[in-house]
Amino acid sequence: MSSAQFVNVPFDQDYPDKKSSVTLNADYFCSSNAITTQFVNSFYQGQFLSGSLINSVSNKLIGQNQLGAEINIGIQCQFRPDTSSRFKKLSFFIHLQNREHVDVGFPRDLFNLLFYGNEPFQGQTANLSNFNMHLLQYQQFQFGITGKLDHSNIRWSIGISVLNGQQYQNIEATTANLYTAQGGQYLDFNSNVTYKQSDPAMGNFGSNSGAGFSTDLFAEIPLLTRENHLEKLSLELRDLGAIWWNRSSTKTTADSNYYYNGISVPDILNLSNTKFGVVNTDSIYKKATQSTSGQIASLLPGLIHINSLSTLGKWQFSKGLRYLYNANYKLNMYVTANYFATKKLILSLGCSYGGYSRFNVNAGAALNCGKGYIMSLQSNNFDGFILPQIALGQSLSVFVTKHF
Amino acid sequence: MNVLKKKFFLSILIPVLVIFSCKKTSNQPNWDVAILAPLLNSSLNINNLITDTLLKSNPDSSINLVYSSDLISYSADTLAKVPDTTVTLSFPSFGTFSGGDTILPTTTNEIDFKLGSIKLKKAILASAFIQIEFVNAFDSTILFQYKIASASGNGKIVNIIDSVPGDSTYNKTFSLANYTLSLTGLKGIGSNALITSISFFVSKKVISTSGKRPVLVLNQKIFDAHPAFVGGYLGQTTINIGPDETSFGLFKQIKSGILNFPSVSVNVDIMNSIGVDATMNIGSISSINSRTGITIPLKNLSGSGIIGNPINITRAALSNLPSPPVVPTSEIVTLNNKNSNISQFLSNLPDQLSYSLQVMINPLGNVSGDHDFVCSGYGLNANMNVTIPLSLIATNLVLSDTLLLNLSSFAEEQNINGGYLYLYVTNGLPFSASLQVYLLNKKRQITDSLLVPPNNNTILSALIGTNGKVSQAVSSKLTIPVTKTRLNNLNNAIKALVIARFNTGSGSSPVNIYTNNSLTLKLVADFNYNLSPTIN
Repeated sequence: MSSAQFVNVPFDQDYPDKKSSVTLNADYFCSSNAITTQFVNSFYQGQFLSGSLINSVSNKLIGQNQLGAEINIGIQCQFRPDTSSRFKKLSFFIHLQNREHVDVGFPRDLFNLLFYGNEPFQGQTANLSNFNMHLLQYQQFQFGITGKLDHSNIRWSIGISVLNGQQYQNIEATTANLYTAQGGQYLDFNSNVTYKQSDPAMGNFGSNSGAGFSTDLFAEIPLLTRENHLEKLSLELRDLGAIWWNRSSTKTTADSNYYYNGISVPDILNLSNTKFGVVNTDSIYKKATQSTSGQIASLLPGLIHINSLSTLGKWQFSKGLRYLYNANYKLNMYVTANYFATKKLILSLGCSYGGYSRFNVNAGAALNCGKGYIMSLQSNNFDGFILPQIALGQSLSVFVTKHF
Repeated sequence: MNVLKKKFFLSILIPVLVIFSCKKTSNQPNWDVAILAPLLNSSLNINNLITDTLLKSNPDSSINLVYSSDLISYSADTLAKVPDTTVTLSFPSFGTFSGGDTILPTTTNEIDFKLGSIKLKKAILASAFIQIEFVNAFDSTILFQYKIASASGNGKIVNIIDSVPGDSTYNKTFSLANYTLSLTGLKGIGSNALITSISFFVSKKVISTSGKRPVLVLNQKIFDAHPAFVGGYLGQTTINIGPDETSFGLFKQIKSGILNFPSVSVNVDIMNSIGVDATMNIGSISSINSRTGITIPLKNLSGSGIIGNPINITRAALSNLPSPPVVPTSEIVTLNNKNSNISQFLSNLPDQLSYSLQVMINPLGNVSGDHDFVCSGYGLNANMNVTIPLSLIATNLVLSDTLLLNLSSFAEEQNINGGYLYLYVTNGLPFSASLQVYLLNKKRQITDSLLVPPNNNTILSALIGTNGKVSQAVSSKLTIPVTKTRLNNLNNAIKALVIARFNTGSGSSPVNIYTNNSLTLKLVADFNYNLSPTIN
């Protein structure tokens, strides 16, 4: 589960005799160190982005910035063998998910160039270097086992996934800059860019452009077990794997210098044969790039998550470190307080710093509805719903479990 | 259970609603950006302003403006007329004739063309007709044979054999096109005379009574004769040409202003394609500027010059080739500042030239021994060949031209909110220019004016060194504000009327224009643009 607060499934201990459960999960997040929630929402909704809205983002930019987003939707079935079975201490699960991930690293000048234009850069060079983007869409078929070591009460879980690659796009611009001459008399663009793309004809949901494997590992170590005081340390490694994309994938490189000083008109006194406003982008693309087809491989944005959970009476304090590698992600630190308001209701509130964003507020609730139903609703960017003008992310995670 | 279900569905419904409240619409995000980018670049040199065919480069890279204009065009076809001519022959009747007899011996006569002092020995007819009318007053059929021995075509002479029923009239017309006529008459030494002959026969017995009215009458009419060639002696005559006017297009794009040519040379090339000697006397040639209404006549200086002074023109020769049949002669008369006021004449910037002259044919008489000739379509022509070094002084010289425009492909025009167009000009030409550009729609109506004061609309002149050559190009920036309305006008414009006012500076010295003098320009857009990328 992609849960921040509940490394442990809430209320799971309330159903020790249940043999199986089905969980529906859906979560998304979109956060950045500079791009506000309001900006993202306006962009997504196809609205006009006003100057003040753009300024609110531009003022937050630093030299190198990042943005990340994910959408995950899935269903998990977990079952425990009968107590007479030799596997009675294990439980097995199958998890099907649709995963979508995008992360972008971009320099300040790229955002300003894109949203202000190049006029503010006249007489200067807009540094567009170190721009990178990863987009990944795939379906995950995971089979896993969870268990517990008797002597140490260490809980562990292993999941092995087969991945169906749907779409992959990767842009790496190691060098890119645009010079706008004073007065706009010429433009000079240098770039060293690599663009990888999976089979462009196979981008629809469920289509097979590649295949891969991944592994999830989880271990929870109880450090202290006293009445009303529990200390646990957990380590989670998720999405350790890769996808290999088929031979219809393309790799395009552009290592070029493009100098543009306007269309050359041989006879200025006869403009009837000159076309304006029509740029033959195909011609420019073919001239400036080299493409090859063949297999490409992509590492998944893997998660390393360390959590310390302290339970004191009705309170639970979850603190941890989270890091996504290969994903423009900075180390994320969080602390969350869970309060068992009732036997059936847990409320949580906390904060975090890092990741794709900066300071965020997280909040959530979990409810044991009885009859085996457990629901959870939480957000790692709760401030994104309250103050979208200044918040730098938004997220929501929902899961519903039915124990049988 | 119902409460549980309610809690369950609410807990699902609320987050789903929250998530999908941000459902993507079909609109695309859009925002305004400031774009600064060059649109086009070009260069102009004197070849763009003046047609290449009017310019000639010199070894020192200086340029001469050369222009040729037809001044006089005289067709000599009027000298080669063959008038319509009718000759009638009457034959009295006498005696009785048996069948097969010849009534009269072959009668030969001349058709004399009345040409005054012109004595034609030969004519080749491009087209002509002969009408033969034969009145037969006998009461029986007469046979006749009509010949024109001195008219041959395709190796044959005219030979008509036909019959006329009794008491009737024979009337037929025959073409003499492409026939060559020998006009030397019966003795072969005459002129203007065509020899014909007629013979009469009877097929059966005819009886006539002598003393009565003529019973055989022959009318011969040559008409509509258009010679392709005539040869002989064309007489001594004076031809008046003009007063007449001819257009002069060198300065047609100049609307107003002053242009002084310190140095100019004009050759009047008189080409004679007629086989006669001649003397030309030019009474007057005037420069007419219909815009200003000023007319300046060409004048001689210090006794020399072409006005009023006879110009001897030698005769052309036959080439003996089918084409061209004539080898013309040329007499060139030069006009310059030493022998005429030609600079003043051309500085009037004429669009018309008027002229009046006389040409005397064969001033010395029949010195060719009847070897004058005229070929149809060939005559006497005079061209004025102007050579002007591009060393000039321009004062508020206004040129205008209409340029074709096609900005319909300016596909992104609807996304431009407004801004400016900047025209950066680096001028290496030795004159300044103030520009005005008007946009014209399909109805030729002016819809917009692009360069309006107080915005700068002047291109500064290049700096000129002491050697009279451009020493340094000078940059200028012209600004054209762009609004939605103007963009719409640009998109709908099919032509642009460009009016340029040139000045060569405040000095009195002329400036020289060289082949390497040029003007570079660059059009830059500074637009507020609504960017709306398509995002799937």
